[in-house]
Amino acid sequence: MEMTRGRRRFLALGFAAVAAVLMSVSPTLAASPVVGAPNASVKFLSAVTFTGTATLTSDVARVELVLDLEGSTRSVVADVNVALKPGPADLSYVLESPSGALVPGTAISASFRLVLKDGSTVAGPVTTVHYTDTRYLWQTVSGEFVRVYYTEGGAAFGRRAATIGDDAIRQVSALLGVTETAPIKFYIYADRTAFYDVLGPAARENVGGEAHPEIRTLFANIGPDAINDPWVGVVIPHELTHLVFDTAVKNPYHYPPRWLNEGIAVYLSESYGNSDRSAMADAARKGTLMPLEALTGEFPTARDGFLLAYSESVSAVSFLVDHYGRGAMAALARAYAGGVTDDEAFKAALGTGLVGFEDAWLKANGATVLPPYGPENAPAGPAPSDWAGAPLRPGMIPAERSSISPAGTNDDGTGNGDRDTTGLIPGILAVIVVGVAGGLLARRLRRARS
Amino acid sequence: MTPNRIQRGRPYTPAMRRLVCVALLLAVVGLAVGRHVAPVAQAAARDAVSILVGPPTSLDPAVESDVGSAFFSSQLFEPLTAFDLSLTLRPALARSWDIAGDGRRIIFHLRAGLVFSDGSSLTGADVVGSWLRVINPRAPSQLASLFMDVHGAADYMAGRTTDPANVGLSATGLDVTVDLDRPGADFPSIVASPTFGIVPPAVWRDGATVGLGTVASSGGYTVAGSSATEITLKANSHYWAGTPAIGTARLVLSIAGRSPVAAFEAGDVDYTDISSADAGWIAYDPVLGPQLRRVQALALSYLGFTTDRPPFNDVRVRQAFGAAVDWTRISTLAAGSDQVPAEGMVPPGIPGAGDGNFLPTHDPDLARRLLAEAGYPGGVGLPPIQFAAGGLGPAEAIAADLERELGVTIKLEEYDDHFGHLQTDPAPMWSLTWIADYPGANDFLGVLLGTGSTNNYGHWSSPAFDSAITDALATRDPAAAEGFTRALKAVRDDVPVVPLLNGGGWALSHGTLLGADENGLGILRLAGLAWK
Repeated sequence: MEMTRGRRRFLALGFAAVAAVLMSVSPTLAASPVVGAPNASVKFLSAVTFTGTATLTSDVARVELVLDLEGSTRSVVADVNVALKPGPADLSYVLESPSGALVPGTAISASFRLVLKDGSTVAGPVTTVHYTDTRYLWQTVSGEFVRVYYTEGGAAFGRRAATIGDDAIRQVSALLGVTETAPIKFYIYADRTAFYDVLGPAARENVGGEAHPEIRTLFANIGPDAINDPWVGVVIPHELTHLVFDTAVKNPYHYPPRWLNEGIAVYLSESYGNSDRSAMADAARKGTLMPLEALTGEFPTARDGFLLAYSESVSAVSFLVDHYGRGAMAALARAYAGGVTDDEAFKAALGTGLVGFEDAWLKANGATVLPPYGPENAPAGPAPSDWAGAPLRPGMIPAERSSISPAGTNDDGTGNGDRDTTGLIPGILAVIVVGVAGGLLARRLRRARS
Repeated sequence: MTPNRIQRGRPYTPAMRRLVCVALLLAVVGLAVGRHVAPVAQAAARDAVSILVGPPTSLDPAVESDVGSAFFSSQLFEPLTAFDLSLTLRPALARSWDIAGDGRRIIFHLRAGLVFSDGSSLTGADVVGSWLRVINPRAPSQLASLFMDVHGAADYMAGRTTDPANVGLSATGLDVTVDLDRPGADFPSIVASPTFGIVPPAVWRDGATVGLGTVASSGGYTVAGSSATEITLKANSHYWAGTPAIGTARLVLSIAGRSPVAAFEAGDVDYTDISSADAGWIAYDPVLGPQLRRVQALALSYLGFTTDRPPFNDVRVRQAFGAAVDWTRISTLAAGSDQVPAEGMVPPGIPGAGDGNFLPTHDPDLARRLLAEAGYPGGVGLPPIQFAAGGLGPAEAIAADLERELGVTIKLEEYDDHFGHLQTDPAPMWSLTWIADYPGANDFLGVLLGTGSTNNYGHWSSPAFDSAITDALATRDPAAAEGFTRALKAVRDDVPVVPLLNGGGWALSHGTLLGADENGLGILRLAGLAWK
């Protein structure tokens, strides 16, 4: 579009050189709109404000701010509220950033864009700003893969965190058959409240760390005296596994199920331990196991179900490694990276589809999955008294002067053209997949178990 | 993300079912930890219901155009007809109607004794006045296309005539006569749309703004109050079907960033849409599972091209883009548990959807040849193409296929006013999800793609398509309308749009809440709710 616009201006100028009259009749053509780079000011946990100036012409139909957030494949385009009159104009846009909306460390590239009446655009220069947590003076230490940002505990704390992170990256990279090259940022908050400010109001109470693969960043809440606590050696590898998993399977078509992602994370950070084995056995005995398709998207909110979901996930991954070999895990990741369905990925890597894998896993655990509790149809509610009776068959044209009563009697007498709409809902039902799997690509929250 | 209402009849994106922080695309999903609060049976005398919804853009039937706003306006302003939960057309303000003149004249007979919530009479004049607002030349409804078969409506909306008497609408007492330019196969169904809700004279005659509690209503509820986080409705004791069973409806607009599941578990809402990602585990939860509801939706997500500007004004470019992508494959990979790949513009289950597949054939070699013939060999000469993704899940996948097969560059963008830009200056590529106003094929064909239709966002014009639609609408049986099949083929061959996904959604509804179901048109009828 800009090329088109550019050609138009060029032609206008060419004609102007030949025909002097054009210089007097077309100031709009001779003067092009101009827009400068935005200035950005960050107020952490509040807003990022972009300001700038432009010289508008009567060609300008709209002014936009184009935002490219680090890790996002889509630009965000916001309308800038400005009076559209020729001449200089002050531009301003406020991007609200309350708790949980923008994570620290995110790079934001911004530029103003003028949309002209012919649909072409004039793009301004780009400004890049980092949304940083300015509440602290961050110290940093870099490992082989991980750059640690911390505020308390001293250099030894930072080095220990980097070592844990680097070791975890090596371990999971080997299992998934990938090589990490781009740096990974690891922010450690000593203060729990400050940490939860970053996560946002939707975070659970028991989160110790959270990975954001889209910006290759891990956040953790570790006090200065806790770096050698056993749980730290679990949380950091767990969350970093999600980052490497994302690298291994990344594709624009289909993201693997959550149980696989979490299962690998637990498997590598804790292994398939006694507590998970016990939970699996208990659930198998009680008949409370959930099928893997139930663990494709989010995990249960209730603590028991939440923990069982993790136990099932690591059990399935452990079964996969034990029965198909560690190489199968890398093959599975490679298959997913090719952008295939879950079933295709499992067939490519294991020689059996997801259903076959799940059956074998359940059989190995002596378990069966009971039918789901829902969905159920809503119980019927009140309806107007004259809404009972035969349908009126929407879309049908009765014969001339036919009378259609609320009771739905169609007296066209022909019997032609009737369409029984009562079959619509069953028809819709019949074509809608009844799976309960619901992987949402956009959801990349990773939560550690407390 | 917290759920918003599905949009209906009209622009709707799955993403907008939730209160997404679109400006950031980084809204954080929450799964608040949980005490599993089993929703206990409410007292029989319970008189209020809380429903999590998105804020409306307008309460005015003639202004709103998204299903979230239509949810509100439909509770306040009743149309003449309505679809029940089985998608059966029922009488609402009209007790019956006659069809005459080879189907070109429809006479609606209003119920006797109708009044607005303030006790003032509701007559045929209110119907005519309300419907003329839909085609107001100064501010026509975005869904005015639904009304274009009414004689003179197009001329009135375009300002070619200023006399409303030239529009085929007239009222005599409780009778409203509508004259159509073609047989009105689906007109009584069309006016069941919330767009055709009846507003009082203060609005249609005196020009009052439809705000929160500012005007009398004709629907089951009136506005009792509002705040930043809630709009409260109270039952209309003058409602034609009797006072609704639930006296107060608290329409919750915000749950402070919590997940809707958490809000439901805490008892803060009695009904809420949820994501398919949560539906999976909830189905196996002994407490929540029985309260899980599948929300039907006659909906279609589709990709559109702006066909009156380069490069997509060249049919070969559109055909190249259509042939470059394996659309079914991409949709299959992207579909959630509530979606299926689309095979045509008309969702399955709607008469006229046609048999077979109406997608462009996947043929990358042909795609490259067509693009070269159009003057862009290997994509050379094409500038980066803006794709207003509108929250479409498989946008990245589509871009990847196009870039790989054609050598083009696709720039994915999310607009803070996606629908507004579609109306005024659509990007070269865009997406939209549309949910039916009524269960008719034309709502997805003529309304979205007919020449000059207000909802033809890509400005496509095809005499063959228009002719096919005209033929289809003239038949007695839409299900057997050969014209619709011709229209579907015209879309497939000319590629103004590409159908992607059909599907609905999921909801959690309190176990003792009766009638909390939808019929595929995207709106929960509050007057149909009751506590067990």
